[in-house]
Amino acid sequence: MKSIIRWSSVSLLSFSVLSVSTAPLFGQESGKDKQIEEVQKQIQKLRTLYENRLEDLEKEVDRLRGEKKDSSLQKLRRKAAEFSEKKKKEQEVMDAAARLTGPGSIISSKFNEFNPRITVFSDFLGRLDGRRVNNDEGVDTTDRFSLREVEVDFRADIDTYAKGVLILAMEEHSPNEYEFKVEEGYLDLHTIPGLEDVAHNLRFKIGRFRTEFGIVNILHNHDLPWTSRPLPVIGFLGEEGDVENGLGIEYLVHNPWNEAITFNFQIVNGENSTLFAGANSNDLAFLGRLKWHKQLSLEHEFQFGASAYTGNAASDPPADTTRLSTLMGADFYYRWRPEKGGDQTSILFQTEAYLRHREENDRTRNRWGFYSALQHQFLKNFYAGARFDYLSGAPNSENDWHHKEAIYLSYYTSEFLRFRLGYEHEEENNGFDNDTLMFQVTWVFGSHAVEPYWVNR
Amino acid sequence: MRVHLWFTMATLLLTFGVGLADERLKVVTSNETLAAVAREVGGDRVEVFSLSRGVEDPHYVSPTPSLMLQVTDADLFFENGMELECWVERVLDGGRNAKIRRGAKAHVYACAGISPLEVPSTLSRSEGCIHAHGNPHIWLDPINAKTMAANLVEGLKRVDPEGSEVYDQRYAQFRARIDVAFYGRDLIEVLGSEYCDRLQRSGGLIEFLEAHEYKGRSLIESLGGWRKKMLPLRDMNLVAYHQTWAYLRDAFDLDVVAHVEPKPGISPTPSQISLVRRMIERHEVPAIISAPYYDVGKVRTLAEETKTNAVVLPSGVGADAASVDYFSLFERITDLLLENARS
Repeated sequence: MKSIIRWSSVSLLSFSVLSVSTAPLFGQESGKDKQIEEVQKQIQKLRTLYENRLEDLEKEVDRLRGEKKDSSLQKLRRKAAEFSEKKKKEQEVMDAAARLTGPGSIISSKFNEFNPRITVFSDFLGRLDGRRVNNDEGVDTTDRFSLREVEVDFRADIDTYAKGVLILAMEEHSPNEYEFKVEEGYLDLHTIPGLEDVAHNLRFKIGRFRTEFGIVNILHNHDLPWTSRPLPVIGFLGEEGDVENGLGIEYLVHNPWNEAITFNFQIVNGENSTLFAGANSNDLAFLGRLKWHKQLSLEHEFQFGASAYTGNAASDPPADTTRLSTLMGADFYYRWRPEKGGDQTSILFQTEAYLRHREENDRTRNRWGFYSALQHQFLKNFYAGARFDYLSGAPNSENDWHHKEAIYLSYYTSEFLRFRLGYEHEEENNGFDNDTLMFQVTWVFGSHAVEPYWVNR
Repeated sequence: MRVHLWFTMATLLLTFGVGLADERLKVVTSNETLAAVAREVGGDRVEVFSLSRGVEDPHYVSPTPSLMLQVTDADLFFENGMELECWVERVLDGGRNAKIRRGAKAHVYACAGISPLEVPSTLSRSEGCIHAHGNPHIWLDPINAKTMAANLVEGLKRVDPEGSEVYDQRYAQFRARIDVAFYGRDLIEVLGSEYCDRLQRSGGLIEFLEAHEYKGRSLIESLGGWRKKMLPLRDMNLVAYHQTWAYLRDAFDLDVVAHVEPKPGISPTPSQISLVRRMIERHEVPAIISAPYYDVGKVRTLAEETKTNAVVLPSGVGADAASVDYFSLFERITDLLLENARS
């Protein structure tokens, strides 16, 4: 192509030079200079034309060269696409073969997103007692194995605004006799529809639930870091803790310091027979709780809490009498997880103190108690700990005391199976004492909710 | 009167959370790697917080009230998905922020559109802590980072349409940087990003490059970046503690011949350790690799017993001091593996 351009340009130039050299033969002597000037202009014009044309042709050459280059690149890329498709198909055949020959040849199930997630918790306990022990109903429960409780936990999103939780429990209340009950069943409303922007830091609970008193009451038996509930929890809130029907509001308190401060207010039936009037209660009970959680660093965290719970201690008291029962509590936990240990080790200290104030006409009666617990996760799956409980005397014997010391060792094979050995020594100042060796196995199957984060794996 | 005024103002402040407004979007992520991606594509328009640290096991993070507080005023939540972060649900429930709940427009899954590896054929706990949707450690393949970033950009554009141009531009830059860092500039210029990715995903990139020429020069000579850096380790046999490295393995054609855990999330048993010992000897495994949050002591002991090396690799951004962003993470991983191979 370039040779054509060169020939064209040479011809054009030759013609121009020829024209300039022959011009004087035909022109007048006086107009010679003018003619020369005219011819020079023409030459200049032709040169410009020639240069533009040359430039255009060179561009054309480059474009054609580029096209040639692109076609080889495209060819290469097409090859790349074909090759990758071939490899992909080979891989698919190998994967299919692996699926057919591997463990479980058929995809048997997928989680059904529209059904609730179901988890079953089973809690088995064996005990060896130093003396005869009776349960609440006076039935002998000494030295026996027991499938203490089975819980079935259903959870699902109800709609954009709410979740539903239903926990059904079957509990052995006397040897080989099981009681079926609704442990919890509540609506968890994340926000108020239409008021998301105003009330987005509120959360509502409606139904039957474990009340937010202190740290331990909200835990189910299988979630406890120990085999038994601490004495003050049993003494003030009952053997299984406090479960009530009612309404609750949780408010994540906005504050200038950007701290995690949560306030709970709950209105419930007040049917706890240990603290209030029991199933016959006609008066509501009110609970308030404020807690402050602080993550100092990845390694250190603590939480302070204070709770107050008040209701009527007797059903239908005479008009001129008061039977107010108020329980106040303070709690604290601190957890240290060494950063270098990953999730391998941790140390937890946890304590709760309770004070019950009961007014009966012109008499007031106070009772108090506390527990403190220390737990060391010394390997990823091993936890060892100790707990001390103290409870001042029962209402009819105010000077009495009751204490318990417990030690335990827990081993998790995974989050779904835990073995625990425990020893407890219990003593009252009326002369009662008992030593119990406990063996507990807790297993979980199903879609597994996250366990209480601060005490367990 | 003055006291009443102050009291009223304080109450209003506490109740409605009237604070100093920051014009930047608050993006909260479940881990530091996602936070690094969010910083790349969000630039100055976003303020990024991670709920967990790189040294933490992303499977097990405590859903504390302090984390819940972080998401209460988030404009967008970015999580990995594939059931890596079971704890996130509790944080989001506790955060009471309807706009970032799963399914809402300001909630983004990084895993959307990524081809999962190791999808279990049966869902049974007897298989250990399996993930129904496949191995969730997707960020350990640089190609996946481009998809993760693309998912985030879509989310950012939904909540901040005014910033669309910026997000698109920054995404294009991030994508180009990943391409150059992974394949090298020369190969990208010849084959282009799309064809490189297609070959890489098919597992045949190196085979193709070795078999083809361009301008009279073997294509393998155009390869650069991390892919070239790791070529000496191609098909190297490794033992891993957990199934963390499936995507890294495929990205660099490594071979993991055994895991120290008998099944995902199950602590090593004596019989498994014995099996791993035999595998190390049979395959002449030069290294046992582990993330820093696993039982590194056990890995080191096993390495000493079998006369191999224990290599603690950062499994995500922030997992060690040198892995400060997505690019330095891969520099670090490749450096450590090469150093081990040389030693």
